[in-house]
Amino acid sequence: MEINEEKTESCTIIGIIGRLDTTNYGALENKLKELIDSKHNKILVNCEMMDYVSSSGLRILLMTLKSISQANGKFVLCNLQENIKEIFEISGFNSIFEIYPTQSEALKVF
Amino acid sequence: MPGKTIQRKGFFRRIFNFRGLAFRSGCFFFVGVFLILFVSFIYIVIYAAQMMMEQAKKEAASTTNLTISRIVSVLQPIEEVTNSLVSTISPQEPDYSSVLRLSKDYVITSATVFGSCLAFEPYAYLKDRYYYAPYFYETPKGVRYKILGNVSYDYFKKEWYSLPKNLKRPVWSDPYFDIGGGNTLMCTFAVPFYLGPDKGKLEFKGVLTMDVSLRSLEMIVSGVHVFKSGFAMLVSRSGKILTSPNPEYINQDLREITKNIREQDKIANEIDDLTKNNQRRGRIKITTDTQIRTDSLPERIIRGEVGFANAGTTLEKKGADLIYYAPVGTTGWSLIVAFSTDELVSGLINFLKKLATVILGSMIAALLITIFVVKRFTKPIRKLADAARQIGHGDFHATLPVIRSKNEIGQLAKSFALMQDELQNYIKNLQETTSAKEKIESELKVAHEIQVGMLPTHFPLRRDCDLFAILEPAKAVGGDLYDFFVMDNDHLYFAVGDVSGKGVPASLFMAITRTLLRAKAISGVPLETVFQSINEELCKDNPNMMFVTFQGAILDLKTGDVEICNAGHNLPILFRKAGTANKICCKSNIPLGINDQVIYHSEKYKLEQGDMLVLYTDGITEAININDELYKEDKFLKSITTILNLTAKETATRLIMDVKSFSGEAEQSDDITLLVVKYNGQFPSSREKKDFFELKIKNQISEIEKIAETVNTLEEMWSLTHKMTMEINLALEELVTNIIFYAFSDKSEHEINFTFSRDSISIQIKVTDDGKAFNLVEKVITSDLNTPLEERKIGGLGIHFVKTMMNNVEYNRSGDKNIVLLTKNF
Repeated sequence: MEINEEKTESCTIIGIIGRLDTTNYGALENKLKELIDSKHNKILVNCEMMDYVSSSGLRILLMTLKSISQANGKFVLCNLQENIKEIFEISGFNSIFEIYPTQSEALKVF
Repeated sequence: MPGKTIQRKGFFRRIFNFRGLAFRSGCFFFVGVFLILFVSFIYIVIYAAQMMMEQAKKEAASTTNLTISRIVSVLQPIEEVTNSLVSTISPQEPDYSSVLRLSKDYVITSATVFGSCLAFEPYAYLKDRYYYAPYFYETPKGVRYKILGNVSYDYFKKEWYSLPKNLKRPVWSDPYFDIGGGNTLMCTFAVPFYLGPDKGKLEFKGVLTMDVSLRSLEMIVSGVHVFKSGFAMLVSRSGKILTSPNPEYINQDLREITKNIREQDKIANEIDDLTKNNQRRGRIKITTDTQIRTDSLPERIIRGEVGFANAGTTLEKKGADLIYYAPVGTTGWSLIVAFSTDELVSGLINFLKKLATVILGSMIAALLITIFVVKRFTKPIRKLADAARQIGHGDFHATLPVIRSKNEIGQLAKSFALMQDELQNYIKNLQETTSAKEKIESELKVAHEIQVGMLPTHFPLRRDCDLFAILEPAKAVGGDLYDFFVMDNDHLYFAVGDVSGKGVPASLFMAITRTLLRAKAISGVPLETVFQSINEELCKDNPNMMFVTFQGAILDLKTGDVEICNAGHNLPILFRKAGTANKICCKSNIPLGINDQVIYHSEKYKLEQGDMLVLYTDGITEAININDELYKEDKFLKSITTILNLTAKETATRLIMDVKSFSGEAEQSDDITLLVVKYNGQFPSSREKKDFFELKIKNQISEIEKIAETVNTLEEMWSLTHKMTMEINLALEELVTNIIFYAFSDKSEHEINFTFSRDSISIQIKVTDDGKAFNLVEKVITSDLNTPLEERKIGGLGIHFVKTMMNNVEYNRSGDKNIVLLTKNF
């Protein structure tokens, strides 16, 4: 898994490339924790290149959402692949997260 | 515009239709009566005209005859007296003096005889007297006597003398004015007398005459009246008119007077034709000479014929156009009676006018009465019609007219009132029924939802067995149920039941039964005990005494042994692979929920590979068709035997189809439930190499990558979809993560084994570890997906993923090993 980071005026865009699973979720966890700690609590995760996610990966996303919500920030996902979208639906996470089909649409909410 | 044309066409009709019954029936009545009366009237006119004409003619004839007889009665004595006087004259020794004396006496006594003369031939009385005719005649001063005959009065040339002389018989002369004789208009009866030595040599010697003044005849004839203007005329032998109402005509020739009658023939012809027609019809029998134009009427009259004739209007007074003529006795005279057909007709017209007035008057009266009566009779009908219209518009409480009469209208009103009552009741009932029905229907809907929502629809996908069940709820929901579940991976539980009663209570009872089955069917517990404990629970709180006929079975998927317990239910059917279908006559216990003391017994059977077990409810065997015939068991068995090498689903579907095609249009009266289990037996474990993969990893997170690698290899080898690969990947990662994190309490190295195999339907993955026992299948996911974010725990999501991604997950603990069998269908 690779993680891209892009800072814009309104928010930070994180791009996840490849598998997000039990073996590598820690890298994402550290990255997100680092951002929240430095008061960057407006985060958009672009999942365009993410082709696999397991419950461990979802756990990180959920934890991030919880902590950003407590800090009155905003945590938004976009560009989910079809398979990933199904996993979100099965877990019920699609109702928890704000998910947008494209990045440009997601950026409007910040 | 076409509409307007139609309107105009139907204008009168519309006017007529618009009018009420009274007007219409009045009109029909009026027209009908008018036609009848009109025809009658015409008939009366024709008949009356004929009658009157006939009557008039009869009257004319009788008047004529009467007059003639009166004239004859006057003239006959004169003739007789004269004849007898002459007969007294002896041919040998005539005594003239006595004759003269007697004739003088007769002149004095007779009212009609004016004078009498005994006229002699020259020199017959006296040898020297050429003329000798003694004559007595009446004057106002008495009877006078004179001798007639001189040069100026040559009586030999007078008709009254010459005629009887020549004719040699008594003769009535024509009227003449006797100048020098009677000096008045008269006619004379003259009888010749003869003298001679014997009878053979008699010589004419003279005549004895009796003069009759025409005035005396006229008195008789003028007494004749036919209608107003009718009159009579006497005509002499030679055609001279003896008497007439018109004095100018007297002594005139009839032929002269009637000369211009011919010009009136046109009218005459018409009447003639009428007469002819009547003759043809045989109604009037008179002798009318039809040759009026070839033989003149006066001639015929003078000749002494009898008959009717049309005289035109010029004969005497205007209007006297029809005459009757007849001879007067032996006188050679004729009597003519004339009368006016106009008067005849005017009488008739007057009569008809009166008749017509009366008829018209009565008709108008009848019309008015009809309209009045019909209006009176139809008044209640009109009121009823108004009420009916109101009712028709939905006002069912419209006031009806009160009609006391017991005739048809009264009955109609009564029936109408009854109908209104019935209608009100009907509407009321309908409203009640509808609301009740709605209530019931909503209850039924609830019951239906309970029933359907409770039934498992995820049928197991296994190689060793195939199960399918159908429940077709009836409109009025019954209490059927079915259930199935696999226990220990080797035991298939399945059951079918039918709760007594219908509706929500039955559905709820059914729900309870099914829940109890799930709760009590624990691995290792005998089926009999399961039934007993369900029965005890059902008996506990069952005030309505509901019960359920129930049939449960456990199929050992390894051996094919099946244990069946039957609580009052339809016997199951065993359909052998060989093609025979038979009821299993297992012992029937009493239904569940009746007696908690009952001990249930089950029986064991053996299924071979390919055998089928069919469980059903009486909804099948008691299905009826439109002729109220039952489907029955034997038909069901026959239907089963036609099945050849089908899956449980296909079998169930086809059996249900057969029942439905039997029922046809008939409404389904009860739930139909059918459960089919097909036992496929155990498959040999040997697998072809390419359909089988193995993997071993250590209990470290980093090893998970190996799983992903293997699954990717499978994707390539078995041509799996990317989605399927990802789902298997996810399930395995979650499972393995779970094992690595929770299965091992020590920190030593452990091995986790994987086997991957496939067949045409699915991929089977067996995961074995030697960690702590952990049945992930039984693990209930406590973290509800719908709980709020803050309350959410991430634990359990992995297991949820495993169960969701895979089509079947089975867990077994074998010795110190956990065995998880995952099945993923293609």
